[in-house]
Amino acid sequence: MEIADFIPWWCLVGFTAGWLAQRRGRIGRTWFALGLLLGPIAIAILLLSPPPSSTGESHETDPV
Amino acid sequence: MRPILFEIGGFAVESYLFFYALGCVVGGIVFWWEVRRRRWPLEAMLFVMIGCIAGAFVGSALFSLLFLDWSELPRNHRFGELLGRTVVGGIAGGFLGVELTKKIIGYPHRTGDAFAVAIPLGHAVGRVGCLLGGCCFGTPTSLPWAIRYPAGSVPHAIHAHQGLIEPESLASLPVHPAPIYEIGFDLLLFVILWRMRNHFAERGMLFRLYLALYAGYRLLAEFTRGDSAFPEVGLKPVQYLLLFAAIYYGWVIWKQIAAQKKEPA
Repeated sequence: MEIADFIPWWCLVGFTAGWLAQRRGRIGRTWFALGLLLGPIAIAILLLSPPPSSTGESHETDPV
Repeated sequence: MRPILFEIGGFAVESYLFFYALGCVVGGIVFWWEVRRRRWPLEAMLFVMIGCIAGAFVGSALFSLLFLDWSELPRNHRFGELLGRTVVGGIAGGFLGVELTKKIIGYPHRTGDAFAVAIPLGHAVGRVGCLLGGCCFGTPTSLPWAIRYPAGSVPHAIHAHQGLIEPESLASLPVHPAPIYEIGFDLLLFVILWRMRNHFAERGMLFRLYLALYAGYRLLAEFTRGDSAFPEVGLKPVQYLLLFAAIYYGWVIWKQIAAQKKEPA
């Protein structure tokens, strides 16, 4: 497999992270970017992190 | 010494790279734990962590080029084995990577306190790779806990190059187990910083304490490190940088502690 073969899958991971993030009360476009940078790790972190409203997590900035 | 940790499907996994990656994972988990405990915004912190790792890679490689004394290495050795393996460069590069990322995403607050507990534990894990991989070795010593590296290792090649041993020798001279010293110090540092997580009123002070303590330790530890040569006069170039960092951050911490004592309870 060449690197180019991974690009569609990597984009799919980004879109999945963005879609999951929106369902969990987070910002979709930010998690799309994190999905592209971290790959499946971003999805794992997202699934392990409770929604921000339940943790009292601060919103000091919207990174993207 | 065990440079190749294991093989998967004919692919050799280097001990150094395995424990380097494991150290990043362990450090990442501690960082994430701290971010959640402090209720900092997860997304911004993930970008900051990515910036830190990218900066650490670049800084580590640049410091290798700047501070490694290439003339000490025998010509027939794989120079790549020592490239990008300086933690001081990793910390400096990571620091710049974080600041650059914060600028890009517009995050104005200090983030170092979460890294302060994550770095020492990740570093301790990574040093196991140094011990098994044969880098970051110590200076020759006759102490009873000295270790020897086998033929084919970097210490063996350097000792042979310097005429300290015969090239056909089976092992290097006995040297300080420098990675083990550092594992012990990093674990101690992790415990100290973990217990002091809520001590400072000002954000960023825990990270400065980490920088002061680690710079102080490394300044002294360099005297037992044999992977870079001492100049004929004075200290190694990196030691001047560490001396400055230890004094500067030590002074900042001392000022903060004095200010906290003055404040009414």
